[in-house]
Amino acid sequence: MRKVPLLFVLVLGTGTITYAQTSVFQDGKGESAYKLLGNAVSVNTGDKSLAATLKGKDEVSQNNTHFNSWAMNVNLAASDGSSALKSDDGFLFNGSIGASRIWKRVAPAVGNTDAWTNAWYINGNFLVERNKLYDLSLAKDKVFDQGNAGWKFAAGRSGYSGDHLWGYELNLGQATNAKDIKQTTVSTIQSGGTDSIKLEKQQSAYATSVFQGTQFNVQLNADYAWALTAKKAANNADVPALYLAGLFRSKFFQLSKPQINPAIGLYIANPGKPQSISAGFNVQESDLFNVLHAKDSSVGKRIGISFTAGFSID
Amino acid sequence: MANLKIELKGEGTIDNAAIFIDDPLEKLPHSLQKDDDTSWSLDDVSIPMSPGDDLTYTLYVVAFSGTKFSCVITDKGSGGTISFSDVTGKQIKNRAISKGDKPFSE
Repeated sequence: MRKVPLLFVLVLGTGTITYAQTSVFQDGKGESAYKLLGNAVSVNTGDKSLAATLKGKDEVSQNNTHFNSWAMNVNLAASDGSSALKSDDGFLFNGSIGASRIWKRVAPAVGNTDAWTNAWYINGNFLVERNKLYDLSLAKDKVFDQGNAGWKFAAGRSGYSGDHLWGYELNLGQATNAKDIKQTTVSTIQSGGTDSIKLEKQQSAYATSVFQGTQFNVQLNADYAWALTAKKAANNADVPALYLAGLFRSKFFQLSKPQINPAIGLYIANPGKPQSISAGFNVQESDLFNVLHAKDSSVGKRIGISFTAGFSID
Repeated sequence: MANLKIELKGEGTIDNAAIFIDDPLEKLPHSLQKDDDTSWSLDDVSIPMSPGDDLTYTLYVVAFSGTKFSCVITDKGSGGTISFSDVTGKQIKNRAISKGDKPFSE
């Protein structure tokens, strides 16, 4: 019985990883700039990830305007596209664990200045990725698992004033390029003769020719959201705040040409809790200028939609 | 003389809060202390007032527009309370201000 591995060009999506503080303004790749900076759990369908943040007690200044704290975050994402975390050969996942320091400032409660809140933060993360790769030139074990370790350091600022939420972040670190490439379905077929074949196994894997190991990258992210229903929400606390958000993402992988991934989204908050975004979706154009030279060179083919849901735990 | 306890509870995060209480002698702001992200309070606020007098207050709350909150002011001597609730952001970009002139309920 002869086994012949064949390739099908079925694109299943990319396995990705989110980092840093939890945010519901995540794009399909798990990146964000506006942070919840509190206890929260979030889910992202774009990268099939689950993230949680646990914040320590605030260190409050004497005049009640500075609130400093530590926070921890964990994230787990399937690295095998739309399939399960578990494969025949073991668990396939991307994960991260990190810690943050937050310096939050708010307007004094009395006086004539407008109300505002903003916070600086820094965040460090240790990353682990385990991806499935394939190399058809190998004599055996053409599909195999590979683990990669990385790190990420981020610094940014998030805040709000009136109806506006905003955030920007610069982060750098070492990670694979799994976020930016697509998996292919590799089928193993048993050939029993000239007229019978049997599909034995199908696996999603990255081609070793395009998968790069851990590489240095720099990203600049910015989020802005405008509360469309803030006035209605203020007059009727049962009306949830609805936000229109613009997300800007740029990535310098190995300091080559920047990859621009802009997105636009709608997000909804819990009634009476406009700061706690509960769910939303965004439409994202991956690699706007096609610097990665994807085969699908038309702009429309690189558009993706992802949904996020989050639960702020007050 | 009345000894008051002020408790503020938000349905969302409250970033800062203070209350002005008018008494016959002065008008002073009292900053509430943060208990957690949604709860602020202040204990042992002494003002010269007699039973049956109305309390004149102005509460300032810093939170994102649309956040619901409620406040209870308790006269620790008589056990009487003043309760009110409101929503921030009636004036967009300004802090929420709740004013009142009420007697303590028995």
